Amino acid sequence: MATTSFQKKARVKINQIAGTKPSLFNNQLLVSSGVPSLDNIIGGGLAVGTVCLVEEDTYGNYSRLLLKYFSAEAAMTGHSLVLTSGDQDPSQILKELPAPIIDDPGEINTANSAEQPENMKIAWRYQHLPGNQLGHSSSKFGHYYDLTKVMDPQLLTSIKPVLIGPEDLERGCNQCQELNPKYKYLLTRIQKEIEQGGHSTTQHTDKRNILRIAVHSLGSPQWDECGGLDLSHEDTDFSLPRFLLALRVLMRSAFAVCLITIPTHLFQIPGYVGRLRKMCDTVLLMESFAGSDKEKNPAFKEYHGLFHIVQLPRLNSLLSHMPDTLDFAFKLRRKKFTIEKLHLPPELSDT
Amino acid sequence: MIGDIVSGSETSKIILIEDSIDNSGRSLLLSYAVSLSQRVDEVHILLFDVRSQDTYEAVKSLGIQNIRVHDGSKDLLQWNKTPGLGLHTDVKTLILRGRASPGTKSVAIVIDSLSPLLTHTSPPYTCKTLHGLISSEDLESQVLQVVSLLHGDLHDDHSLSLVHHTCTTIQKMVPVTTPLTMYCCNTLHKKVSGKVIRITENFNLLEDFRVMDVSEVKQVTKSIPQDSNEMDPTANLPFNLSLSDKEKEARSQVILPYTYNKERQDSLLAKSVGEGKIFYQPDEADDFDEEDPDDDLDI
Repeated sequence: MATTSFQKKARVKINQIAGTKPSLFNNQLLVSSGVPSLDNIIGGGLAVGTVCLVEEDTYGNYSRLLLKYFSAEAAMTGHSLVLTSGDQDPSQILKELPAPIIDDPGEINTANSAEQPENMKIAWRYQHLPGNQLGHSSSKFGHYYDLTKVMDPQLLTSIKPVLIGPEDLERGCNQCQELNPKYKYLLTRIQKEIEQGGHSTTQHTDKRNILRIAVHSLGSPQWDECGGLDLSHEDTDFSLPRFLLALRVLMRSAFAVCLITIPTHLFQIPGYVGRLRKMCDTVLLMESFAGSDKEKNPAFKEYHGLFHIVQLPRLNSLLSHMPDTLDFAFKLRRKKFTIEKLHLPPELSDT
Repeated sequence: MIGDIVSGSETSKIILIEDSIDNSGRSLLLSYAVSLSQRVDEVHILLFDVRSQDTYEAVKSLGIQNIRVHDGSKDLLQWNKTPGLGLHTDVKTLILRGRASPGTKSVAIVIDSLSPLLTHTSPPYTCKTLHGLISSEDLESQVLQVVSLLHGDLHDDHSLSLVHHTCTTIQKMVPVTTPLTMYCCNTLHKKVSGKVIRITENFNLLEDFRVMDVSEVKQVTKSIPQDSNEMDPTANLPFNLSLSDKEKEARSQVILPYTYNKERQDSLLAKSVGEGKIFYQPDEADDFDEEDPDDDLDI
């Protein structure tokens, strides 16, 4: 379908921040998560000032991939990035970011005309219309990435990412009564980054930019977290919900977006994961089929796992965004990662 | 798979052997130690367990040069303040101190077993220790692999799940299925590429602790029996549903109603609208009266 030339006559009062767009449902400022298919499901993107929790799959591979997409999107839109990991060196994650697919509008037209489909016999009236467009080539919201290639390091150094690795956490933490020392250290670092980068809503800067905070595998044993249990193994340790609450407070007064992955399958205290979910805004759960019985199920043949939307935020409104279905699945192909509506394969008899 | 992991063709940084009273994993641990001694410059065995004297005897009898044993089982918590290995000592400084030759490039660590560590300290401490051992800093040489034994029946599921999360290969000793082999284990291996392999295998160990006779235990899966003589529903009908070749050809020649056809388009455009012929066929009931009662028709 040809794009219309209709231009909305709106007075743009707020300065446009690069890489953001206002939501179509409410007037929230949205930021792309890096995976355009995910953006479509959660209502356009992640809202600025919120915390998105991704509950990890059993072996953590796909959640790490989401984190990589999030960080790559930061590099593409020029947002500032803070990347933390307790399990591995964050610079290792940065070395594996996927390269963006930059398509030239001119190139798309020639590509389409080159591969003429065979003459349509019945629908010949639609022959002259152009084929499926990949997306608006002029939009700066949501980029496509190629997983087989690695992002150019120069693109990353231009945004000057702040990396907090396991050694920094070990060295920087001091004894603390209310909170796990490592979480406290991370909070102070994030607060410092917000103030220094001018991302706080109270600071007045002429060039606003978004701060993206990516936390990998928070709550894993490397963070001194014993699955929600106290050191005495009797009481519940509420450090993680407290940390998430404090983080959300920080986010609400800053132009920042936070993506956290937590291995919730390690928490076996009933109700604990529920608390974690309530403390965050958007909660997504990835359930991969690797190593489980569902791998052999013929209905899931094309997919690598199920994608559950556990919670969507109600920001300044009575209702949250509701997608038309809640059955989603993800598949990781060689070049890209997509989240799709789960549909069963066609039922064909074997004759 | 198990042969590959033991020999090193499948890389895995942290290997965990989980055994129980009925199915011991100590021999498998020793086979790892023997295989590692051929691949790295130094193998350090840390003994924490009560029964680790067996390991000590076995290693001594093998007489391999580059295996160094550190015994911490006598005074685990260091109540007698003995120097040497205890649960809370920094393993890396101990290894550095006890180093014979300064030019070692690669080191491997074998732990027998991890259970006292998990019992006396918290699971995060154990996981952090394991994770810390694999990194090469403070040691001046590369740690190739850390292999440890863990007694699965001593700990609760929660602590075990935390330790499993940290390891890249988990081998659980299970009861043997065939009488031909001595051991059987269920391996979960997380490859670097992200793929996860889960396999159960029977195997034998020779006297010098080499892995032999690996055979996979095939799971009997309940599959829906394929109905091999499925009735063709078009077989016993009184009418014919299939097409002969001539009929198929004729079918492909049929011009579909809304297809673009030059002749049809032309005939539609060329036909003038004014002509319309009426063909009237009267039947018996029609009264075809030639007379005109009003006399106003001019035919």
